[in-house]
Amino acid sequence: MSIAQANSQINSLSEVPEGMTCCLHQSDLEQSSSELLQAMGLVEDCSFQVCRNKGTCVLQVHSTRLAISRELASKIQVRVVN
Amino acid sequence: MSETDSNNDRLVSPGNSGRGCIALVGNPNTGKTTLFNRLCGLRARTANLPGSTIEAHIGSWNAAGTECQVVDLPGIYGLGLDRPESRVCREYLDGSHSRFPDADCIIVVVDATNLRRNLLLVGQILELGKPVVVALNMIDIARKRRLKIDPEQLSRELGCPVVELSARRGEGIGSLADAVRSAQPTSVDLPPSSNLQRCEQWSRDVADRVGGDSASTDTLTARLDVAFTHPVMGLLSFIIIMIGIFWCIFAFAAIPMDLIDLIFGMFSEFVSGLLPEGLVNDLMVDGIIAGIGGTVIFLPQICLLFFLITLLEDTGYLARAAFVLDRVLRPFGLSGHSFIPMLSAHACALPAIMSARMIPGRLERLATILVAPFLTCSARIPVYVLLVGFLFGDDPLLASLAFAGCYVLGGVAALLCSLVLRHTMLRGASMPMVIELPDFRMPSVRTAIVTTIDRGWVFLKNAGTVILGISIILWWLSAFPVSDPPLEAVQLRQAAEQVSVEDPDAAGSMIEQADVITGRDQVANSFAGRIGRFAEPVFKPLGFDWQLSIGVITSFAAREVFVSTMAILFSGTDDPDEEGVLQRIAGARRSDGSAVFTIPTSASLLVFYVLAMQCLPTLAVTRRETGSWNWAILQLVFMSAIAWIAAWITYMLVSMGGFS
Repeated sequence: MSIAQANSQINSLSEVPEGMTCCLHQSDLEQSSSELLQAMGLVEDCSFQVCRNKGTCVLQVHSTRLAISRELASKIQVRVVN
Repeated sequence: MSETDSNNDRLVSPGNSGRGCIALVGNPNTGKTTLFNRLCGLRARTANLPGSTIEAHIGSWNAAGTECQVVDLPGIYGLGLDRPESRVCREYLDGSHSRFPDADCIIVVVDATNLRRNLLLVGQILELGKPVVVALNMIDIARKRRLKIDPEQLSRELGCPVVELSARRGEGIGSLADAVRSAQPTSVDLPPSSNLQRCEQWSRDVADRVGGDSASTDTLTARLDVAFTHPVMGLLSFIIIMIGIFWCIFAFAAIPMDLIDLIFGMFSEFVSGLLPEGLVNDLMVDGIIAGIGGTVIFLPQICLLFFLITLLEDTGYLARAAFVLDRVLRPFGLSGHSFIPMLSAHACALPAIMSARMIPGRLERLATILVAPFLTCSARIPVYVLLVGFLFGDDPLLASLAFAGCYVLGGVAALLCSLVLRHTMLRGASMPMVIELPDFRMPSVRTAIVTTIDRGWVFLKNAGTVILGISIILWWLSAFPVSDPPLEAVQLRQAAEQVSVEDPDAAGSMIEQADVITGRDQVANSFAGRIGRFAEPVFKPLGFDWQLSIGVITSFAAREVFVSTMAILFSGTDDPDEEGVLQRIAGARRSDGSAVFTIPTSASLLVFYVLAMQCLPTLAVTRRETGSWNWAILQLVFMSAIAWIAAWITYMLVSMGGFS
C-alpha cells in the first residue's frame, strides 16, 4: 500500500507502512485482548507511530513501545494521520 | 510502652499479619522487583500465590528500626483484566487469601517516564480504599529526558503521598518509609475504573497537569530496535547472544561443578571411613550423599543461567527475543517466550522448566514444560559418547553427525509433541502476542544476584528433598536383598590371602577383582536386578536383554547412571574412564556368547536415550511447577512411549538393513 493510499482511508493496522502515524479507529478483537491493549495505552482515538510492520507490529504509543502479532494487527482498524 | 505507642512506631497499622504488611503493585518493567530487592535484600522468600503457579515474593523491610512485611506482586497492566496475574493480584488485594498476610498499605510503583499509562493502574488501586503510596520510580531517567514532574501536585491530584525514587540507585527509600507511615485512603473523587474512556481522560489530564504527559522516547532504544526487532538481524543477534550465554554457562560452571564433585567425593570418603561397614554406611554413601551430590552438582549451571537471564531481562532484551521468535514457534503451539526455557534445556531440563514461569499463556507454558526434556541436556552426553562410540568409533565424521543428529532428533520431537499436545490435551486459543518492549537500560547486578540466590535456594529446597527420597529408594532397590558373595569371589579372596605376604600387589588386585564380581552379582540379584529381568520382555523388542534393562531402570534416576551401571555389570568397576573399561563394555557377551551391544541394539539404545524421560529430578520439578503429579506422570508416559516406539522402529530398520 502506498503512503498516499494509506493516508486516504481507514486501514487494517497490518497494512500500514512503517513510519506512519495512525489513530486507533476500532478493533475486532476478543474482549481480553482488547482490554489488555487498552490497559497498555492503545485506546480509541489515541495516536501512535508504526515503527515496524514486517511479521510483527512494533508501535510507539505515547511513551510505550508495544509489539503485537500480525494476527492481532489485522483486526485493528486505524486511520492514518500522516 | 503502651500498645498505642508501639503502633505509632510501626510503618503501617498491622492487620491480620500482626506486624503490618505492604503490597508492591505496578505495571511490568517499572522496577518493582528492583525496589523489593532494595527494601528486603535476602530477607525474602518466594511463594506461589494460592491456586496458581504465579509467584509473589514475601520479604521483611527494616526501615530505621521498624519492620514490616512486603509482598511483591506480579506486574500487571490492570486489576480487572482477564489474565492470571491480574486475577491473583485482585484476589490478594481483596483479602481472599488467608495464607498471605493482608496488605495494610499498597505502594504503587510507577515508571516516571511513562506516567500517563501508569496512572490508569494507580486509579484502580486508589479505588480499593486502602492507604496508598505512589513510588515515582526511575525519576533519574525521567530527569535525564527533561521530564519535570511535580510530585506535590501529583500527590494533591491523587490524594495520597507521592515519593520520587530511583530503586536502582537506592535514592528516596527513606522518604518512602515516611510516606508509608502517613498514608491514608484517598478522599479524591476518581472516575470509576469500569469506565475506561473516563479513566484514560483522567490519567491524561492528571499527567498533563503535573508535567508528566510529554511523550518520552529513548533514542538509543529506537536505534537498537532497528536491529533487534528486524526479522533477520533480530534472529541472528538472538542466536549470537544465546551462544554467548551458553558458552559462559559451560565455561564458567565447569569449575564449581568439579569442585562440588570433589567436595562430595571427599565427604563420601570421610563418611565411609567414619562409619563401620554395613547398611548405614552404604545408605549414607551410596544413597544419601550420592543422591544429593548428583543434584547439587547442577547448581552452578542453574545459578549461572538464572544470573545471566536476569541480567538480560533487566536490560530489556528478552522482550525483543520473545518478539522475534514468536513467529518461529507459534506454528508449533508455543510462543516466543518458550524459547528461553527450551534453550536452557540444553544445559539441564530443571532450570528450563523453572524458567517456563515467565511464559504468560497457561497452555503455552504447560506445553513448554512438557516438551522441554526432549532437548539434549548435559546428562545425556556421557550416554551419547558411549553409544556413538560403539556405532561409529572408527569414523569421526559419522560419529559427529550422529552426535548432532541426537540434538536434532530431540528438538524435532519437542516441536512435534508440542504440536500434538496443543491440538489434543492442551487445545485452546494461543494467547496472542502482545508485549511491551521496555527501554534498554543498564542491568542491576544486585537484582540478578538476589534473584539467582532465590532461584538456587528454591531448586535445592524443592528438587533436593524429593530427589533425596528417590535416591534412597533406588539405593535400597539395588542394595537389597544382600547376596552371598559368589564362589568365584570367595576363591579370589582366599587366593589373595595366601599370596598377600609374598606379593601384596597381586593380592590387592585379586581383592579388587573379587569386589567387582561381588558388586556385579549384587546388582544382578538385587531387587533392581529382578526388576530388570521382570522388565526384560518389555525391552526385548528394542534389542535390550535383562542387563541392559537393569541399566535403563537404574538410570531412571539420572541418565548418566546408565554408563556407570554398564561399567559395573560388564567390567566390574563403576568408573568408565578406567583404562579398557569401554572396550570391555563394547565387547560384552551374553551367556549364550552373543554380543550385547550389536549395531541395532546400540542404535536403538541411543534413540531411546534421546527421547526417554530418564530423569526423576525433572519429574519432581514438573510436578512442582505444574502443581500436579498428573502432568508429571503424563510427561513420563508419553516420553517413554515415544522413546520405546522410536527405538523399536530404529531396531527393526537397522536389523533389516543387515547390520549386526
